[in-house]
Amino acid sequence: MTGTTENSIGRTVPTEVRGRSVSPYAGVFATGPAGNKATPPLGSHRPSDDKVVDSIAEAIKRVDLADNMTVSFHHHLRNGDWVMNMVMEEIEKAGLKGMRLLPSAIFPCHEPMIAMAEKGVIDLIDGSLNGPLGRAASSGLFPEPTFIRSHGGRTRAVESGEAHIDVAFLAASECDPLGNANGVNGPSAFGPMGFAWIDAQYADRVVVVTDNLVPYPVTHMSIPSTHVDVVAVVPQIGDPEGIMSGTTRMTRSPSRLLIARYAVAALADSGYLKDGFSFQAGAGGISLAAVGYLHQYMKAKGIVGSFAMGGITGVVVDMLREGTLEAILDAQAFDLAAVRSVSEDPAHVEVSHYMFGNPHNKGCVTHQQDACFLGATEVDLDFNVNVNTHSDGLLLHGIGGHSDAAAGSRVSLIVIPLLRGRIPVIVDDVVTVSTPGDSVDIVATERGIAINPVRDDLVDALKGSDLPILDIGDLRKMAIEMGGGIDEPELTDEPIAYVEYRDGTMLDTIYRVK
Amino acid sequence: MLMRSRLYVPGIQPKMLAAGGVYGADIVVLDLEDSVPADRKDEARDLVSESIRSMDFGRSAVFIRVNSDRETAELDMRVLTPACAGILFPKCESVDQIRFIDTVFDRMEGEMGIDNGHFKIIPIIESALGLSKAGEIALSEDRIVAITLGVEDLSSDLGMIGPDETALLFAKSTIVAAARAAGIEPLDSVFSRVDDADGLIEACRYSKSLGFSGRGAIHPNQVETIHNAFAPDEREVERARLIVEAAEAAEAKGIGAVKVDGAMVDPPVVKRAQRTIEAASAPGSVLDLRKVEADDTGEGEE
Amino acid sequence: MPGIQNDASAGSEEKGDVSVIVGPDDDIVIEIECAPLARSRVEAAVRGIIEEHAVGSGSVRVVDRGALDPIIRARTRTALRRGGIEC
Repeated sequence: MTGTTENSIGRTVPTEVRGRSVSPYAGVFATGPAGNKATPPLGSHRPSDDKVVDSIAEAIKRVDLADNMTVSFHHHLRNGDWVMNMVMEEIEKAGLKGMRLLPSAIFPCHEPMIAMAEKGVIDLIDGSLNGPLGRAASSGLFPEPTFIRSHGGRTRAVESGEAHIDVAFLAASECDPLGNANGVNGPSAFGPMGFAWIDAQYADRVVVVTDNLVPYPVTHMSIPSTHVDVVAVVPQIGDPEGIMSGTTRMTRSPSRLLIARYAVAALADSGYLKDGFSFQAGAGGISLAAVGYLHQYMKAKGIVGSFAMGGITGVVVDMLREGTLEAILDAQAFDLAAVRSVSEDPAHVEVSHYMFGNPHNKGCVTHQQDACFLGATEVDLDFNVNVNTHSDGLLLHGIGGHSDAAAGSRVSLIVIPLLRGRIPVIVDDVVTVSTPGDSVDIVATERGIAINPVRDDLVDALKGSDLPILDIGDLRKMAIEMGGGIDEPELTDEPIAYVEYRDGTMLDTIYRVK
Repeated sequence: MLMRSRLYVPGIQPKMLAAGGVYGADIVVLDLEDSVPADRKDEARDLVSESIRSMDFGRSAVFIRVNSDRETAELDMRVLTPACAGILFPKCESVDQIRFIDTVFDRMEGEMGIDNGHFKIIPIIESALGLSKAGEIALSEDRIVAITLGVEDLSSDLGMIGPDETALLFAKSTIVAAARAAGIEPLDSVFSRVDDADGLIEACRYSKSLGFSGRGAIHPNQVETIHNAFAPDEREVERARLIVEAAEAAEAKGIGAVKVDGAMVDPPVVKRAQRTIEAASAPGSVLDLRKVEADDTGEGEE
Repeated sequence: MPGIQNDASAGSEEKGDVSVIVGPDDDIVIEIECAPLARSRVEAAVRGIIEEHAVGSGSVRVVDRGALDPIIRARTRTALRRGGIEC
């Protein structure tokens, strides 16, 4: 690391990355936008132009892909995605090297990227690293540190020009010959294309990859043709079984169900759970259970919520259908119920991740919501949350929308077990800060609930509650006494990634594992 | 000690032992009997022993269900620490068995340096013979704080087919009568259909109508439902408050007799009233959904 | 100091549990398979029980799947008893 400094939460972060000055994290809304939006080149389409090609190899030629360019992908196909691997295989066959990838997330099915990085086809993957690729990155796969960004933060970086995309390869389950595309129709339907919107807006060139070319015009236009250069038709964009994989089902574990009930009860006691209530839930099993209890409680009390933002599952769709919610804002579908609902119900609205979580736009959804239920691998005594690395320091997960949701919500709740096996989830200091403690309000475990002391209003509201309200330090002690504790991770002082906060400031550094 | 819920935790299951105390059950029963195979009793004893000494059971009173043969029962009893409340004694058929347990407890309490009578006993009636002796068993020892029945073994021994609640009425009423006569709590058996939440509510309502103070739970998800079902209603709480106030007033004046609404009230009734008030203020459901429905709509549950 | 007399085992390799297999040996030999960060604590829990019962010799092979310390202690004690150590 060239120069370093300490940010407002005491973490050591760089002052410069890849020749660009960066600022240390200074607070949840301390850093606003500066300058103008990025400006991709103008393009056109004449009546005689044909955008359709019958292979990815042809698409790569059409967009003049070259060495060291940055290519991007969305991850709406989740662990059933074939597009990234297909594109990168063709890039390798074309003899291209030094590519930089900017996917919205990575899944285990993208493991072939490790070999590509080892061969020099891929130079760097920015934005999100998890699973096998994260593990490899933790051992020094890439020649320089990558950026880890939240969903909202990724859109900010692209719009500001800090993360430039040369070519975006966007999978779509339905597309017409001009490039109007969506993910809600077709045999490989996966739902809204919230991640893809920013890529389509700002990439220099856009390739839509589809297995379902239909006559013009497609009427559900998640991506409008006005941004599309090439339409590549392939036999299949992904494995339908895998498309809905990687999301969790609602937990059935009694102790995790209890955590979910505690979270909803704390919310009820806080006074925020009333008519007009809005929320966001993560995809974790406890979060989904919390939504289920939320629904029960709201129905019983006759509370009608204004909206839910997601990451949407059938559990949330049920709330809309039964009149407990007035609208769903959906950037990503987690199951087929959500896919069906977004195409059938006008109150179920597709939005982009740009709208969802970019703090530097003029109408960020998370800034409107009352509550969010989020997970964690670790939470520390300052309420900082780690979702990226495990206690051993291995980079195994992306941030997702975690820090976006926590920053904007009036009450952000972390729902976690006190222990995972013997590993305490509440620690003295998290290995990696993914979401800063000044945006985290309540931590609910099966043994008790801790309230961030800076939230006087919540502390007062929950004072007379029957719930087991404890100091976070007491939860930490309990975790050690019950589990026995573990050793500190063995890390080097060599950075392999920087956690960039949603506003572009540097939140933390992730180090190579010994 | 409230005894609305009695959560059984298999002593052979490490993860369940670790989580046993989080559900807020009034009683947690760490089981060394039926849920533990015969060749793994030692293993369960070791697990339960370490759990009792290291794990936090929150507000739950910790009991162990010991094995019914004397030799194994004593080994099981030796696992207890002063932090434990006592044992459930299965297949109880005689006062002799209770005397035996009492003797072992006397010795243990002496060795531990704790009050004599600290450890409590809850006999489980599981046979025709036991049922016929329920009254004398309930009255036999001060350590006995409650009595319950094991429906599966009991109904088998009685030659029942099914059985349904009608068939079990005599047996259950016998337990209630034996308990009340001895001034202890009658506790109903477990409800085995874990996924039938509505069935559990109905079963608890029925138990309460027969005079039981609580039910067994074989799954943590049942605990809150049981608490809500056995929660006293406003009328009961009001009546209990009057009784307790009258008893306190009488005690302050040094008068032995307690009168409420012109009628004499016996000490067991005062004790029950105290327990009703305790139950009214004890944690019920985390989300208080049932309370919400009763307060707001009076309509049926989901 | 007593030694482990015969082969014996306790526990399982299910998540949250620990498997402890003991047998006779000339010395005290402890082998532990577990998550790297848990090693020192797992070993401490196992050694604690071995020392509590003054075991003089024997092999103890532990495969830990994230068990809490009380479970590790319990399983070790059971295995030792089954292996002929008075516990």
